[in-house]
Amino acid sequence: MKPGDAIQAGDDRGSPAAALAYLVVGPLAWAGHLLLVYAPQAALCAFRLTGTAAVETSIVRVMVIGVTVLAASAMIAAIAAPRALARLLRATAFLEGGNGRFMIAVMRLLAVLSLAGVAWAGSAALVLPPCPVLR
Amino acid sequence: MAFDERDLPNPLPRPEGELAELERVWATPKGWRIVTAVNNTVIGIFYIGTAFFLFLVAGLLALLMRTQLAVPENDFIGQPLYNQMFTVHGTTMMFLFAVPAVEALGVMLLPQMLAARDLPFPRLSAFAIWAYVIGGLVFVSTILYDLAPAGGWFMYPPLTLKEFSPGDNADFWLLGIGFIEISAIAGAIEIVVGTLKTRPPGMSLMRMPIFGWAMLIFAAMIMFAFPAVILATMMLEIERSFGWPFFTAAQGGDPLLWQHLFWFFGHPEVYIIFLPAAGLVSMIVPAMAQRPLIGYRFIVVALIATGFFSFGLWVHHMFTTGIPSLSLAFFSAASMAVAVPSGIQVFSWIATMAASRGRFRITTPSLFVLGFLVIFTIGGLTGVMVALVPLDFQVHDTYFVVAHFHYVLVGGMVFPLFATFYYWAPMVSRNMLSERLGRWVFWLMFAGFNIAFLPMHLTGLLGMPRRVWTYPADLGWDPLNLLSTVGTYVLAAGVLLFTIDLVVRFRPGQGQDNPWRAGTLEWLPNDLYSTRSIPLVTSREPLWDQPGLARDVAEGRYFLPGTLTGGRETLVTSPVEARPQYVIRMPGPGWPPFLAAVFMASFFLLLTVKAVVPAVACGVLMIVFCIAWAWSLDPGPGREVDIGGGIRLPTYMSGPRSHSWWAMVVLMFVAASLYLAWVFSYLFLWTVSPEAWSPHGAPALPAWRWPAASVLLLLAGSGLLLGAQRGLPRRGERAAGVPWQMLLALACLAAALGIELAGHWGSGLRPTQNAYAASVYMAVLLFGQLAFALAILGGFVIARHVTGRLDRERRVSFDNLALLFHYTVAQSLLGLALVHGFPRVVA
Repeated sequence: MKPGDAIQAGDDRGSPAAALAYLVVGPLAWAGHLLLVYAPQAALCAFRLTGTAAVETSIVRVMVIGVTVLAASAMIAAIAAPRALARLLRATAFLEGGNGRFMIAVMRLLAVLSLAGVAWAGSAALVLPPCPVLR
Repeated sequence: MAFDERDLPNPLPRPEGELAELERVWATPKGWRIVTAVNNTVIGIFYIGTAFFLFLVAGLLALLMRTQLAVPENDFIGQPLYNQMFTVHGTTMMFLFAVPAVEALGVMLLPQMLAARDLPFPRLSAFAIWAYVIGGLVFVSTILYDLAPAGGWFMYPPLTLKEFSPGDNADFWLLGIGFIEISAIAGAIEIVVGTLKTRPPGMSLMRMPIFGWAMLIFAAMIMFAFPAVILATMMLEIERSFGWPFFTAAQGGDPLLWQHLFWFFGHPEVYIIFLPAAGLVSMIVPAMAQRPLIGYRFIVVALIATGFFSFGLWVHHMFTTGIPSLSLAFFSAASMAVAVPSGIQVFSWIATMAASRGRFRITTPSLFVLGFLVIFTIGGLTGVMVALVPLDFQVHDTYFVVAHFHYVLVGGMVFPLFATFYYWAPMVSRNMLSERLGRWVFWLMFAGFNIAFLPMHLTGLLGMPRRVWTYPADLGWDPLNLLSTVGTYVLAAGVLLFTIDLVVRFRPGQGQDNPWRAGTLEWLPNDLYSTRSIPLVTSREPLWDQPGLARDVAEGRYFLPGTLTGGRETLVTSPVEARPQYVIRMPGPGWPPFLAAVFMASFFLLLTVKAVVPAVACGVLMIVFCIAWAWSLDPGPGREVDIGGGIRLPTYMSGPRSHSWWAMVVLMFVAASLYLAWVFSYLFLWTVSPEAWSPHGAPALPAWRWPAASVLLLLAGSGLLLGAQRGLPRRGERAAGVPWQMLLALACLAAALGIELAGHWGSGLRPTQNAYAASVYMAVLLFGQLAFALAILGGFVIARHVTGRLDRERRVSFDNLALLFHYTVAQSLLGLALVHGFPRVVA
């Protein structure tokens, strides 16, 4: 064993749930985005609540683009300010020591991938009408 | 307590008899008592052996089907049998081979990779495995006596409704597979808790082997994906048996609900199978390249991202069902996005091979890994193709899709599995498998697979539909089909050669000492007790970076070198940083898990053939053996022990540090997923047939006082249980009020359930009336299911109190009851709000 290899008995420095939430904040935002664009769009289309196709298109477009911008903003903020996010989630203890760089890197990379997924799905609203089946 | 020394935690010489005692405690039962064994390496072999046997059976069915399709207008196999064959082939490969095989590898390899003595719930593993073995063998045997289901592995209604699939065939799928899913969930609980809580000291998450990450994500995916299909199978079986019309369009139901629920499970299922296989490849590649994996962080990211994204793809199996194009676009985007993390892994493996600068050894495992890379990449590319909606319209239900998913599944799982057989066999066998024969096996399988499946892309593009038992000549399909059949036989020859090698050379016993010169802990000298002592880990490849580690571990110089409590035990560490927390005292061999599994399988299978009385008798016996098994757990506080290096740890733990608490929390996530699947079903059916909803298409809802009474009773139950928790006696004392408080809490729960049921029944609502009514009663059923479990658990906890086995310290069973109880209350409150509030809001 190398000198300095210390092992401390006891609990983790913070809550494991906070560490988990910190790591997967990007994918969670992606999942939230999918739920918030798909469910209302499917329900609006099922009931034709708005009456006219033009109104429907506008409402769905605004809703999808709005949710996409919100989700993307959250992810960009997480990527830009990982320590602020850790403070928000009470996960700062895990950023100390050897695990810190790993945690930040994994969180950021996951957020980048999720951001791509959100932008990919959300941009569909710019080119497709909300309800027709198109075949 | 801290340990920070140049010296190793435990000195030499070790006390006389320490090793012999360890061997005695971990000894495997001999003869026919082997079925009572719980050691992961022993039951792991049964598990993998059964999965491999079922793979051979399903493969044989494929061979027969390909023989039938070799030439047009063939009458070798008739249509009804062919339908049963492709159903059993798909079902067996997906449910009875692929998932159990990777779960088996988790049971077998994880404790070794984590240098744990065993997974934390060895009897749960044994129970899950025997339930699977019995259920799997019975299910597959149905093909022999015309009882096999014939609705395809996805069992779409309305084809599988009683009207179109009479007889018990479909029920064998619904009940048989349903309970095997329970077995998979039991395994997942074991793997989640094992991975997070039984790593060796120092093995923080960033040092965990990639296979550990893969299995953690695999198990988490099972927790969230399997409940959807369990709910779907419950609903379809209830509709078939009792006429609750969830899937009958004429009564407000919708067959598409099945597709949503099935594919919410079914698509993640592909990644549930692939991720562990990718994890295995991430272990083999560095060993063969003799250098650390390039992009460890990227691979962790890829595994997590794949796990998440895979839940956003299910609709791509339903592109042709008439869903709005914008919805399809959301899922098409996710289907393409998921290829990115898969690509990251492929590039990482290739980079690791390249960075070895020619040192990458071409062995049989490496060949299978290279074959996997080629085949899986092709499957991934065609996956991106079918993620494009217009192309999917064109090739849906054709042989193109058959080719695509075989490239993904055989490439992504079967080839890595064979690499695994060759790579890890020396860990548990006295002999290695033959390298010379292995190369033959690889080339036969690789060539055979591509000869069989590459032409199917063309057959599909030429328009040949799936699941047809024969086809007319002169459509341009004949030579391609013949070629595919020839390829299948070549592939089968490879598998046969492997089986012969396995029979000749595989001999369970003391493994080899690191024949591949790998860097991970499973190659430490090990025996039935796993490693002699549990190492302190300071890097991702400890065997490469910590010189002398294998010798020191084998000499017992690290932690827990013997048995400190006189029984089976392992070290529990914290989930993120792997700090030692306590020592688990684990149960040894015993009959209860085996018998509980036998009676659970009997319960479900007898129910399938409508032998209700014997089925109920078996169900009761199953509960009896589960209670007998659980009675010996929760031993209560023992003395602190010194595991080495001056670190003293307790040998008992309750509350959030305890592995038992974690298991219950995982189980609650499973229950919550099941319930959310019901919430989705309820709302989905409303979007399909709002006219069936109360008050227009069904009787008016019960007056507010009915749900209000249920809410009050539920809250009172929770309050009573909290009171009981505060009133738990000191050690050695009794508290007369505690059992009564628990009984009252359970009574409140039962009364709330009764009131909910009586309210709907009294309003004139009947579950067979329409889909709305069926959904309402389904909520009651799900509530009742938990209440039944709580009644048994509550009775068990009360019995422990009465016999002096429950107090403020010895309270794991009570904590589990309380967690499940409060969860049930929360779930029921949500259900009451939805069932009683939503129809009023939308009316």
